[in-house]
Amino acid sequence: MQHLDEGTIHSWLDGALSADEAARVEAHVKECPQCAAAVAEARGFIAGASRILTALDNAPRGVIPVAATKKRIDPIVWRVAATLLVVAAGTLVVFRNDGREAPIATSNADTVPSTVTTFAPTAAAGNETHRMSAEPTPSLQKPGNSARGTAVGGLQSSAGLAEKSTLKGGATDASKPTSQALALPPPVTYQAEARAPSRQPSTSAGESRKVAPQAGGAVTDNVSISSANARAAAPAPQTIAPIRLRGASTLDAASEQVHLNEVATLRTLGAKATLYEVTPGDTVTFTEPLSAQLESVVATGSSAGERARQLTGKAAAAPSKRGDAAVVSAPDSQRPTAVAGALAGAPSALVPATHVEVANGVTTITWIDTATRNTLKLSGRMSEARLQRIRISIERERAATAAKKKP
Amino acid sequence: MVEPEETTIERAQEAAMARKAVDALAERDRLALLMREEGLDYNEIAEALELSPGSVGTTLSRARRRLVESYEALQKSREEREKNAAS
Repeated sequence: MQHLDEGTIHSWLDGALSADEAARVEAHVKECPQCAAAVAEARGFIAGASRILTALDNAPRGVIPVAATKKRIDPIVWRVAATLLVVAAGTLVVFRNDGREAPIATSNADTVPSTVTTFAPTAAAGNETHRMSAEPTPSLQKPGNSARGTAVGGLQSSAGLAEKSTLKGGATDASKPTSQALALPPPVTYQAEARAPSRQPSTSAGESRKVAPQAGGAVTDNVSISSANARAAAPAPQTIAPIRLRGASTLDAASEQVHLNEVATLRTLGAKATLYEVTPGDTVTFTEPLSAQLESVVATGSSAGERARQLTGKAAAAPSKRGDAAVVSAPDSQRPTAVAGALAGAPSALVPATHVEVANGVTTITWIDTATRNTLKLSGRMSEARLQRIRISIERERAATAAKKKP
Repeated sequence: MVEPEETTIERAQEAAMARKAVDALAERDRLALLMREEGLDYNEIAEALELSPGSVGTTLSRARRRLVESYEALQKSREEREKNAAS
């Protein structure tokens, strides 16, 4: 047998020969030392070539024919797909964020007109209740205006107080959203209360509201409608009527302890108006005269002026500056002097309401401070029961302040 | 005795010499060698290079020999330069 050529040896070592040829070459290599040496040399070349090619940091590409390569997707397709994916993801995020913020925006938007809408119904103009035939002095709120005008005017006056006075901390923004309003029961019960302000003294236990303004006795304002009952009575979804929910908060808060937060104080000629914030967004205006001599006149009726002048000599000189003011003509049982002694020790809970007026959702209580004989006025956009409770708190605060001033 | 690991510079020098040795090959020999290194069998190489299957072994043996000889020549040349530089 002839010696093996180099090509055949490499083919044999690469396993490219058929089985017969490989067997024949193998047999020859075992018998032929020269060919065995050639095989050893070929192994060295194969290993050396493989090592050199491995050392190439970047092997040349494109050496494989096109038919042997796999088709690859154009990189531009991947770029377009990636761009579309990013845009879709961003759009999804934006839409999801919008959906999350929408309820917040709605609640804020609804809260702003809630103060106006809730307390300015079209039929509210007919709900004005005057227990006294004459109005003493015009205060910050004018009940005689139209429903819309009164509501807006009340807001403007409150805003004016905040602007002209020194802010002491609490926000006077009526549109400030409160978590309490969102968590409160539906307003059906509250609306019934607001539109039917039954101020008749009643002792029946089934009454939902009891107001007993009696001279010498404590004013009892019980709101027997619990929040649970209100929820059961009107299980409307909270998100449907956010405006009414705000009104319901007033009902619940009436049974709670009143925390007064003095927001602003406005001093005008002869009067001092204090703006209290009882709950975030709910404010009341407390008006007291600065001059005791001028404000000691209480108007209960224009026709009773002569008798009152006879009763109080000091007050007889006052009406010259207030032409519309009349002099007190109250029954003996309701006269402030009858309870003056009792009020000296505990003046807060014993002061009867001498004047209650509700106009367009604005409740105004006017009474006489037995200590100073001044006419005090408290008004706010809330129920009378709650306003009475606030009034009691103010009275207690004033009594405490007076006690501190005294040696 | 354990040989020290090749540094990055040494590996780079070897890669440069390998590149030179490969580029020194004839076009057909270089292509046949790189195809075989990528795992193609003799029939595929023969088809790609339009050769007979029997001549692929001869082409590869020639390419391997020339590659190794070229590389060894380059390596010897570098060693001589380094020796001259050191002296």
